[in-house]
Amino acid sequence: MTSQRDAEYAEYVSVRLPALRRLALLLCQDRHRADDLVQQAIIRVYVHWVKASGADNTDAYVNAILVREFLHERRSGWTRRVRVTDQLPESPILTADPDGLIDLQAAVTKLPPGQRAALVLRYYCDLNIDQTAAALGCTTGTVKSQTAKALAALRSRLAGDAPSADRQPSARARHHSGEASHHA
Amino acid sequence: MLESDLRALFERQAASEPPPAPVSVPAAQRIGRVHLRRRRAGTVASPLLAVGAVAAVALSGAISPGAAHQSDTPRASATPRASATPRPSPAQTQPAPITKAVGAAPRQFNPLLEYASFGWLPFSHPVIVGGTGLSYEFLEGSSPSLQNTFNWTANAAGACRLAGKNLTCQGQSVADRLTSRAPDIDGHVAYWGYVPLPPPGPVNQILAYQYARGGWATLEFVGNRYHPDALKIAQDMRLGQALRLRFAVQLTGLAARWHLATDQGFNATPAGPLDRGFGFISQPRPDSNAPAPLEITAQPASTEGVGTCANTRWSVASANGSNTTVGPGTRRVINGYHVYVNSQDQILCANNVDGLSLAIQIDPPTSIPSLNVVSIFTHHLRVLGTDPANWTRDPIAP
Repeated sequence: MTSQRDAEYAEYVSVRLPALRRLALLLCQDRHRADDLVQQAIIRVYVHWVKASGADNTDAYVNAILVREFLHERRSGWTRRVRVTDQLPESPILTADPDGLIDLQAAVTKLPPGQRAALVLRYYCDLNIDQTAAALGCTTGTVKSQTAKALAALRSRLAGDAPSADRQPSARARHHSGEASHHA
Repeated sequence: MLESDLRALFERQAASEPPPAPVSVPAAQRIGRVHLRRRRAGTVASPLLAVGAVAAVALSGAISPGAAHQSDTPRASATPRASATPRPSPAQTQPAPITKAVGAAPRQFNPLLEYASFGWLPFSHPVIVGGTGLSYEFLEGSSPSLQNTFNWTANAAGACRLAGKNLTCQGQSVADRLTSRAPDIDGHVAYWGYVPLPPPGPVNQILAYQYARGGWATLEFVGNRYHPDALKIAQDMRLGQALRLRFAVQLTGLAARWHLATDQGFNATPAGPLDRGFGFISQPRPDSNAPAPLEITAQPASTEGVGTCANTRWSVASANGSNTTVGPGTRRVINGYHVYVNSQDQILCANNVDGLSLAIQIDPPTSIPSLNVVSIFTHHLRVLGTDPANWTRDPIAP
């Protein structure tokens, strides 16, 4: 819009870009998706730059835009967008596993976006319940339940049990098991 | 235990060495400007509406350059909008004379003309942004720190509909929860309400009112409802001016059916350079209903972070509203200027052409069979530099 506004925006985003990419990476668990997410988010930041720059905590405001863009885009299927790149597919984020974190990473990747976002905001951004609720645009009760469900799902997966949703047999399996019990 | 493992996992992932960032800040600014323009126009997802309006205007001839001679007052400064609308400071007790609109709202605005300007703003040195399309004109006045903004948008007659507590313009909701009547403005009905679907943070308020018969205007602001400054701004708007604008680039040698569809510019207060971006839209092709939009953006080359072309990626907003990240452009030298060309997506970007950075885009890329961005840059575009004295009031010449 204005030279001054553009300059302030460009300076802010340039400085914050590494942090935004890190947060997006944790939310998406995929670098390419994360960079797409950041690109979309900083467009929204540009559109709302006057509010963002005037917010009490601009960083928190911009983080909230990123998180909400993540949740919104996941709902609207943005991952189907065409992407042209000359880069090779990335290698796994964790290449060594001294602390047994690869299993945890895999489990986190399987969490629904809302639960994953709650975990990232609570345990990476160190936000309290109220701050997490504000960032997600939901109630504190929802944050508590999302966090609890996420932790339960992770514990279940790490213990070797598939969570209840994963234990649901397929229709074909149900059909066969039903037939088996029926015959029995 | 699990919580500490999660912290360790997140920390480790975050600390992993990232590849070079493909994220483009200039691209975000460029796309963001488009979003802002469409949001203000109430046409977020309806570029087709604008094109349809252009075709209608072409038939009536109302937008022909020759129709814009109602007022041809030369402008002396580098800030046409500002020079046309002296803005008294709050300390001034006598506001400048006000030109009130009379009669009906315009059925269409003319992007060659300035219809409205602020008669009063609560800032001593406001930053003014403005833009005009066929169905709207918007003006945004900000405090010098840009912390406080009033965004005024007028819509053409018949473009808006008040249904219950919601005002829709061009099919898009522009104000909702219009639950409280505001004092009448120039004899017309007015309401206090909210901007629909606010982002996180403070909720913007809105004053929606009829600025003339059949035409609705909105004034968006951050602050409490019943904002006295908002009322005074609305009451003191200067309307129906029809002052001609000047442009930093000119298209030449195109078919007569080309018309200016929208423009946008701003005044960086107090004496900064005028930044004038504007778009052109051609008529639909005779054999198709598909639009053929051409957008050209010109900005001062010295503006840091804007118009920089040396990015490896572009974010392209397609006509259906989705965004696509595309590959890098090819660096070329054309007429002695260094440019980046993405032929597949029909984007040309130049960092510095006679002091201006340029971006030319055809969207959809194949919509103008006889033209491409390189031929436009090479044969059809005159760049008039940064001195407003050399700018033109006819952005499309024979």
